[in-house]
Amino acid sequence: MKGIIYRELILMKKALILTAVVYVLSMIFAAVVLLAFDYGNLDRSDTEAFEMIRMYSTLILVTVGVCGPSMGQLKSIIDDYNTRWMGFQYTLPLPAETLAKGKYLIRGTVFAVGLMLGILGELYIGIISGTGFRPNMLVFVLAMGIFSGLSALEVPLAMRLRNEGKIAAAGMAIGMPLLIPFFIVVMKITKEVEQRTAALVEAARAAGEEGPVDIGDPMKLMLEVAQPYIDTFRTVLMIVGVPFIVLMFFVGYKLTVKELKRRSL
Amino acid sequence: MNDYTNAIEINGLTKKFDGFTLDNVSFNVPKGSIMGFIGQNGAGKTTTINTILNIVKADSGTVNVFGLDHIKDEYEIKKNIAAVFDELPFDDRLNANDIDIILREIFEEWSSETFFNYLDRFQLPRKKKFGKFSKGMKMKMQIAAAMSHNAKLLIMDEATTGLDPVVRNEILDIFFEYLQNEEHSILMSSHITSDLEKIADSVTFIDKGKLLISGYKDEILENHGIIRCTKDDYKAIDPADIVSARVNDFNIDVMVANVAECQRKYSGAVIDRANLDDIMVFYVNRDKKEWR
Repeated sequence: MKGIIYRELILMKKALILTAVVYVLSMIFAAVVLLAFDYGNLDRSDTEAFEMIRMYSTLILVTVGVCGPSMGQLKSIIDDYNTRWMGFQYTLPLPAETLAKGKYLIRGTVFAVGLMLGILGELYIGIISGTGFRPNMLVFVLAMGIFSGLSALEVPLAMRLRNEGKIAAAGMAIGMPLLIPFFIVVMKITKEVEQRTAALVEAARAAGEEGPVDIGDPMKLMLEVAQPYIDTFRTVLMIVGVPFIVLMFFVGYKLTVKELKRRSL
Repeated sequence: MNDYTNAIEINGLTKKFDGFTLDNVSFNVPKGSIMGFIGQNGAGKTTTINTILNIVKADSGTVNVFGLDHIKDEYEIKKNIAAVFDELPFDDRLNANDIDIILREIFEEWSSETFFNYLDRFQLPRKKKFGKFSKGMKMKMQIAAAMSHNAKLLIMDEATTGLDPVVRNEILDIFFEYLQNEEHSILMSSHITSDLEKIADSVTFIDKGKLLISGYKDEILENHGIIRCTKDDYKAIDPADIVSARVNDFNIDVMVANVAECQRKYSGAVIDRANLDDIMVFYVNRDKKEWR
C-alpha cells in the first residue's frame, strides 16, 4: 500500500504546495487588513466592516485548508483514466481493498490536516484581530468538515463519472439537501431581525421620535438573534458531525472498492 | 509456485460484448518461450490479454497462469507478471525516480539496481518528467519497469507499435536476454509480424474473436506457402487446399496451409514461402476466398 500512497502524494504534491502557498498568503493578507484596523487607516469603530473582515478571513483560511488538497486528489483520480494507470494498476499484485485504502488514507489525512488548518486559522485570526478565539467560528469549521466528509464520496464518483463537471453536479445534488436547514435558519434569523428592528422603530415612533431611528449596532443585533441557532447548530454538529464523517468515509471506501472490483476502464 | 509446463493455459475462453465475441479461444504459452499473438485491429487480442490479467471477466472458459487459476490466485500470479501496454501508464508528472519509489513498495522482488541499470542502458534520464519523453523513451521506461521485479511472465499488448526499427531492435535484444532464463516466458501481441518472426517461438493468430492458428512458428511458416499461378492453374487447385486467393491482373496468389502435400499434388507449381504478414492477410480474407 505504501507504493500507492507515495504515488498519490507525489501526484498531489503540486496541489499541496499550492494550498500551503495560498494559505500562507491568505494569512498575510488577513493580517495586513485586520492590523490596519488598529494601526492603519481603517476604522475599528466600524464594527460591521471589522466583523465581516474578521469572519471572512477565517472562512477563507478554513476553505483553503479543507478544500485545496482534496481537489488535488480529485484531479489525480481523473488523470488515472487518461494516463491508463487505472488499467495498469489492475496488473499489480494489489487487491481492490488495498488500492482503496491508499486513496482513503490520503483523503483522511488531508481532511484531518484541513480541519486543523481551519482551527489554527481561527486561532491565528483571533490573535491578529485581538478578539481571541471565537467558538462560533468553530461551527463553520465543523460545517466545512461535514461537507468535506461528504466529499469522501468524490472518490467513487470520480471513478464512475471521470469528468470534473459531472462530479461537481453530482456533488451539488448530494450536498444541496444538507443546505436546506441552513437556508431555513437564515430565513428565520432574517425575519426575526426585521421584526426586532420594526419593533424598535415602532417604539421610537410611539415615544414621539422623528427621523432616522438609532437601532444600535446591527451586527450585535444579528448575533443576538443568531446566537441560539448557532449554539443549537454547534451542538448538533458536535453530535452528528463525527459519526456522519466516519459514515461518509466508510460508504465512500466501500463504493470505491466496488468500483475497483468492477474494473471498468 | 507449483510446477508447470505452460506459463499460460487458456481453454474455451469466451467473452461477449455488444458487437463482438471472443469465441471459445484456447491456446498455451509454453514456459521458457515467447509467443507472438497476432491479429488485425479488433480481433480480440487486447480482450484476451485483459482477460488473462483479470481486467476483463470472462463469460466462460478457464485461464491458468503458472498452473494457477487467474482469478483465485490472482495476486500470487501478479507478483510474477509484468504487463507492458502500447502507452505509458505512468502520469506525465512523474519521473523515473518516482517510479522506483512507487514500485519498490509494490513488488517484493523489485530491484532498484536493475531498474537504474536499464535506465542507463536505455540512456533514460532519472529526473525528467515523462510528459517530456518521446514515444520511444516512454516504451523503454515501461520495459525497464517491467524487467525490474524479476517477473516470470511478460505480457505485452502492442508494446512495439509505433516505435522506430532501431528502438524495436534494442527492445527485442532485451527480450532475448530475458529469455535466457528458462523460467521466463513472453506473450507479445503485435501488428509488426517481422519482429515476431525474429523472436517468437510460437504464434497464435486470432481473427474476429476466433482462434485461427496456434502453434510453433517454424511449423506454421513451414506449412504455409503461396502458389503463384495463372488463372487456369488456379482452377486446377482443390478448393479444400486453398486458404484464400489474391487475384492480380496477370496471375493469382493462392495461400495453402499444407505446403508439403501441395508440392506433391501440384508438381511444377511455384510455391513461395509465406511470412506471418502473408498468413495474416490471406486468413483475414478467407471468407471471401478470392480477393484483390
